[in-house]
Amino acid sequence: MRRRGADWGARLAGLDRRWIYLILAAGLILTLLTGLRLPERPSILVEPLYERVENLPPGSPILLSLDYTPSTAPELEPMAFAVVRHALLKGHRLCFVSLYPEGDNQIARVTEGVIAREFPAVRAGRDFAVLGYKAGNEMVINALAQRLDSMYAGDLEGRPLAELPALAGVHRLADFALVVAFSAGTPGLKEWILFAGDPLGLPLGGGCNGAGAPQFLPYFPHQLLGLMGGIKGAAEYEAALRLGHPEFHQRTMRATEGMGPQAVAHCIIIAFVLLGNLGLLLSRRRREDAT
Amino acid sequence: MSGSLEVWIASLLTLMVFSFLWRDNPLYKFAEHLFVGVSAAYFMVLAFWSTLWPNAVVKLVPAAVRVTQPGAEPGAFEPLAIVPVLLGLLMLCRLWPRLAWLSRWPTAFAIGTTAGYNLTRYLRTDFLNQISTTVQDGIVVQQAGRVAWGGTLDQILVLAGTVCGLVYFTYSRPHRGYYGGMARVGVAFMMVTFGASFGYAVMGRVAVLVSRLQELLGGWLGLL
Amino acid sequence: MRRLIPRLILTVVGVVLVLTPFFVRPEAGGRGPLPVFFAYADENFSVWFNVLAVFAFILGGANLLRTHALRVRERGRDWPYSLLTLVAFTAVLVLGLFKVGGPPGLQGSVSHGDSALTWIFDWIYMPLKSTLFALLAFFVASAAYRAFRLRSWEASLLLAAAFVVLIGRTPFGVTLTAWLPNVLRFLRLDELSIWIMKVPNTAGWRSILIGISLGVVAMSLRLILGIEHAVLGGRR
Repeated sequence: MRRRGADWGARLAGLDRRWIYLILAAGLILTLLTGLRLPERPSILVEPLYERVENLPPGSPILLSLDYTPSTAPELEPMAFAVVRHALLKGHRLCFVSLYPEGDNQIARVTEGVIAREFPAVRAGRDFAVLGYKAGNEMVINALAQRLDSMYAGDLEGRPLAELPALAGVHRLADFALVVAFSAGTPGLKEWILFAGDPLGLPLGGGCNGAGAPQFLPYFPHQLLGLMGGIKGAAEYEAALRLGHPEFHQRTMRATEGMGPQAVAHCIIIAFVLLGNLGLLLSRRRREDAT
Repeated sequence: MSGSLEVWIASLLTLMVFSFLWRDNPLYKFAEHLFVGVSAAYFMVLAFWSTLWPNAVVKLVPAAVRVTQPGAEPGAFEPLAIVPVLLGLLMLCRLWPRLAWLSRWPTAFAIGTTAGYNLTRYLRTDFLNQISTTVQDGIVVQQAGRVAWGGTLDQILVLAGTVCGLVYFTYSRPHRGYYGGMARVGVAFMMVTFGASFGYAVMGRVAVLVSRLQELLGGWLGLL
Repeated sequence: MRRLIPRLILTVVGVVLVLTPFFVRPEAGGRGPLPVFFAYADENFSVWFNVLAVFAFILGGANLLRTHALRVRERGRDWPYSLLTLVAFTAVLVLGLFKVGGPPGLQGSVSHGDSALTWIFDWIYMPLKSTLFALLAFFVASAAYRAFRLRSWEASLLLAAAFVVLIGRTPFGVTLTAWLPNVLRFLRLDELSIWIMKVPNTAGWRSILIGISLGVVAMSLRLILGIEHAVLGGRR
């Protein structure tokens, strides 16, 4: 029995990693094909941000900074979709900027995927402004803190800032009622806290990718009023939106749909860790037997 | 199955990259080198049109605004916009070994700017405000006039964990005795921190994989 | 001279920007030559930095071209792939700089919905970038299997926290422990994972942030005072 256990220890230690890849992929594919969907509810990290958007006076200007790339869009795009839906539902004015070159295209996905489809009466320039990407990382934030027009002469279509009703009364960052930064690295939410939220006392909310979420907890709630961490945070905001506005029940499911496969993948990885440790235990016993 | 050429192109490129999981192969190398070329040019194009054109070219040659906006009125000439352009051209001197030393000037400007801004920002946000956040809510948490023992315990733990973590990171004093004990407590907090970070990192990676599989199974094969 | 001028630039720019928050105070009115000068510096140094960043992109692109062109010319290792990189780079550069496919001429946004650049972003760049990143999920699983060993109490604590967060931040965490009575609700995995994030994780990251901030301040001072030579090509 000990000898068989020892053999298994060696087998587990030498397992080809491609078996691990196959099992993970198979688990995810099966879960996707079965359409596993599990309920979500908002957490104390997401609720303050939802409440802020919900309770701002209608017509409040909100700045959204889409600082993510296609590699992290699966986590951050659902957040952006949900916040944009919520803000437009409440009649707020939106302004889109980005610190990443991919930002212009990421913003276009939001304006075409949400605004054009679900809010056909909302007009670019009048209800929302797309200022787009500027190079310079955190220095862009610093420049905007002084004056919007120090970096942006107009929106992406060339309309001057002064002619955009969506930006009426907004000349610098401090004039926005809320800033929400969706970020997946550097520059991102950290730079928004360092260069805008904290020095200017701006109400700042954030969404970030999973890997970056733990580092922003120290800023919550004094320097960051709400945080959507990874796809879980996106699903929680969607859940809050469904609870507060049931008419969005079907449309706010994108992140929630991903949580089923997510949960299965987490279980598979935990199982692999336990299996690896089982192999270690069996190998140790073999060494003890040998000595 | 999708009949769209674009979906097929995207899906085949996706499968080429996934083929690396079996082993390195020509298909993966094709996809990788295609990505390098496309992304480098994409960044350059976006940076040029979004930043260099409006913030340098148009400021130095106001009439140039009519190239992108035929009916627009040229703005004012801003002579100081030549400064970053000159610094940028000096940076390009890095490509020639004999002139590479000139690239130190714009590098010095960039480092000076970053150092100057970061010194005050980090000192305020990550040092002073993080310390004040730790203590400003007080240790004893009250709800409806009564002491909330759970919240109070949490506050004590956050304060203790922060101090012990800082003790652990201070290597100028040997970690012995009471000091060593505090450092070990700091290590415990760090381990929980890193465990939580690992959990969230896994969540982030898996989310992207799920999204690609959704595109393949749903958008391409039509199975979802 | 070759090092003196850059060091002077670095020091002057750094000192000006460090002093800026003390002079540019809106509540003080912002009048007088010094506040005006520092406000000008604060705003324009950022803009100049941003323009400089574009030249950094151009430098990177030029370097890429040179490296791969050299490999093609000398028929180096994997030179056909370098040729592919050059062709892809040139094609995207031309399509983007001339805003091919969008509104006539050079009008409109370079990322207009109908532009060739947007097509490339949607159907080539985005799938490639996403999938390259998605590979990491497999590598994380493999690394977790091989490297996570319960050899010490520290590793056990790390893994325990990781497991609670991995399960607790998914709907399974809610389902698995929802049956626990209210007096033991802190043991429910979803609530426990939130507690881990709010208390020990916050404490750990707060000490890391404070430590990093001191390091940033120290390094910034070293750079501004000219003590750190290595960054501008000097000896330590």
